[in-house]
Amino acid sequence: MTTKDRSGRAPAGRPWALRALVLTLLLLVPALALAACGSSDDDSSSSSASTSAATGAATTASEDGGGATASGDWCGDKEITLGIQDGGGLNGWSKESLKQVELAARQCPNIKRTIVVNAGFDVQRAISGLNSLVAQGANAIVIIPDAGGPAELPGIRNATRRGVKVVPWGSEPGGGSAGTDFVTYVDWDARAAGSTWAEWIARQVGERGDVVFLGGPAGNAVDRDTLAGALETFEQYPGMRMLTGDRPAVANWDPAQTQKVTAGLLTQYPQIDGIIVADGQSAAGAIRAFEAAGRRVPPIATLEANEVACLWRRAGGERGGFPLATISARNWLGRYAVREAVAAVSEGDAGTADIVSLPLYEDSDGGKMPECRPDAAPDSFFSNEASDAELDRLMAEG
Amino acid sequence: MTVPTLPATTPADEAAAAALPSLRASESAGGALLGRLRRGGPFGAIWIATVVLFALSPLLASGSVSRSALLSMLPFAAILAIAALGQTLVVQQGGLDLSVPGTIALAGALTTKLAGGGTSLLLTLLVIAAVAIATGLLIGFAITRLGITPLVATLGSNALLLGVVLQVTGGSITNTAPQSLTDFAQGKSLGIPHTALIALALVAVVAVLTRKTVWGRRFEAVGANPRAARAAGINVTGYQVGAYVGAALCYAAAGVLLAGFISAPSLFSGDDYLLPTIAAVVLGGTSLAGGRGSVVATAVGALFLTQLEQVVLAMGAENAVQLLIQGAIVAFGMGLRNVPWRRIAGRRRQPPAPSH
Repeated sequence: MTTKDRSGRAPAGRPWALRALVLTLLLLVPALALAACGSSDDDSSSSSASTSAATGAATTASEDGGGATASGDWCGDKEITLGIQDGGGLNGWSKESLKQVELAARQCPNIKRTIVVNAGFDVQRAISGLNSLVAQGANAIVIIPDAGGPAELPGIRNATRRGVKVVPWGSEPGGGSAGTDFVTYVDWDARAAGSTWAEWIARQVGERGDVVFLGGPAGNAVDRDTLAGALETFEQYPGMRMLTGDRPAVANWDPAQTQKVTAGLLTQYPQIDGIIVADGQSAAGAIRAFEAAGRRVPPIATLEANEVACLWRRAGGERGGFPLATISARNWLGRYAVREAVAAVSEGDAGTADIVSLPLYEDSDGGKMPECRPDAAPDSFFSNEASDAELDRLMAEG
Repeated sequence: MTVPTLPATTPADEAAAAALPSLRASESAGGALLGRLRRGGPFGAIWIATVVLFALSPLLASGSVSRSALLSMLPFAAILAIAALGQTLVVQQGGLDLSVPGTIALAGALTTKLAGGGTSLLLTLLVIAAVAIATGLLIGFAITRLGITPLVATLGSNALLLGVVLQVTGGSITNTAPQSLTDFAQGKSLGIPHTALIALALVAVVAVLTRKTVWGRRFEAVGANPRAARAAGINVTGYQVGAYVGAALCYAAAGVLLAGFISAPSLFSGDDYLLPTIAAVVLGGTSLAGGRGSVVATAVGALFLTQLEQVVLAMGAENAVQLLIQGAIVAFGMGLRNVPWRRIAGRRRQPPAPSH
């Protein structure tokens, strides 16, 4: 249908210039809005600095470990422009990650400038963003390459070739090798995490039971590795069975989708004894699906998130609630990524392991009880409040 | 509700009826299923498809029509139906609305931000309604007064709305929906989820408005042929802008319910609703060329799509297979409409203007 038909008026009566102008404006507005968001990220980063100061615990973190010793080892005396890129950038996990990176950056006085570029899970923006960091003179870059994985690797290689020290963290760079393509890759040991979850569930159900694994987008590397770790562990327990097989149920790390997928699994399987959910907030969706179907919530192993801890508390907590175990959301690894990148420029010593296997952060069956703070955001991750000293011990055990 | 009913009496309505040769006043919104099947009109196919789907569901995945499975599925179907209701209004005016994700996301973000942050729920709902009306007016103005194509106008508005979502939330949802809303959205009355009851009520109201009133008849006439409608003295712009305002209100309602239902919706929770709303409209039989439409058939289309997703999930097929099956069935469902049933039945010659 043409414009003319819709308005019922002949187009000749309308000034073309005005139309073109408004069309341009309409197209420009979203671009401006996005640009504003980009800049608001910078704003939020500065404001996040003040929030972390306000929360107290995080302040301790920077003051504790951020003393002269820590900075002296890795900071060196070369002037540094730190580029920060996140493949996502638009959720609670990303915001916390940025906060952690900036926490470390503030400990090193030689970091004269930080540049933040987010990709919003857009591969093209990720690649051009990385190039722009190099063009703007960043000599150290920390990057979460989760917008495109392998597609981001050529850009990382290119930056390395131009002498920039790049440290991917939090998500696999999709190939390449430490030392040649980038400085090093800092992350948790995903396999070990899957194994830790599986061990815990096996213990909860008396080494006999059927488990489902709810993951993120189809084919993502993190789920592949955690699930492999879980399956490996289940091989030692003949009574344990992974109902979802050797691929995770695709639930996009999204609470609503996880709820739908769990509802489907509940229809398919009359008995589900344990759930592994690759994303903490999504675990809330799984819990609601069980509640909606009128079935008892089984033991859940997942990542930490304030929301899931609060659901656990509401369901009865230590007395009568479902068993819950979580692993740290690990945003604090960003501090170590900064240390690695800066140390590579200044030829200092980062003094840290690169790949660390994380123990359970919360365990309703003993150890640390899940922590619910009703006033905090549902996607708050309290493990990030740990001080550098505490984390250093954890990393040393790596 | 006291609304004027057919038959049309003004010259404008007569002209409108003339512009709509295929309009049959007998096609009532709440018409019986059997009548629909017998008539086999454009809105009948989805009823058949849905009945067949529910009949086959237990064979494909045992338990997929069990009480608990239906209770899990219905709220999602209801929220999709409410959003698709809005899309139907726009499609009837010959447009396609790409601002669905933005409006749903903004309504959800405002729900968690305002009501979740201590503002009263009533005030929050009023703010959301005002924002939705403003969005609809903006889009309607851009389309009717400035001659911007609906696709471009709604796409631009969507980006604008998502920008506002990011601005309002600062990049992450920092609150959950208020407990009262969550309890309501997850609750049931007489064993039926509240979300489904709201969807039923909204569909009934819009169905009556569009099928049983002079207003509705003019609305269809404007969608079918704006020039003829304008020549007949109908306020074309008003109806067109009204479609976008009504649509935005539907998306906002869906967004509020979704926020209540999942308590902490992600920033882009609306993204999952764009294509399904269009699919529900087309499956329902509303022509993308504009004009006649059936919100009841659209709602059935939403039910069909959601149940299909659940059955395919419950079959435990791999993700690739799930998407293939869903795609094939939706394509088949849409194709079903273009089969010349009447010619096959030999009752009448093929009706004009199949959609494409």
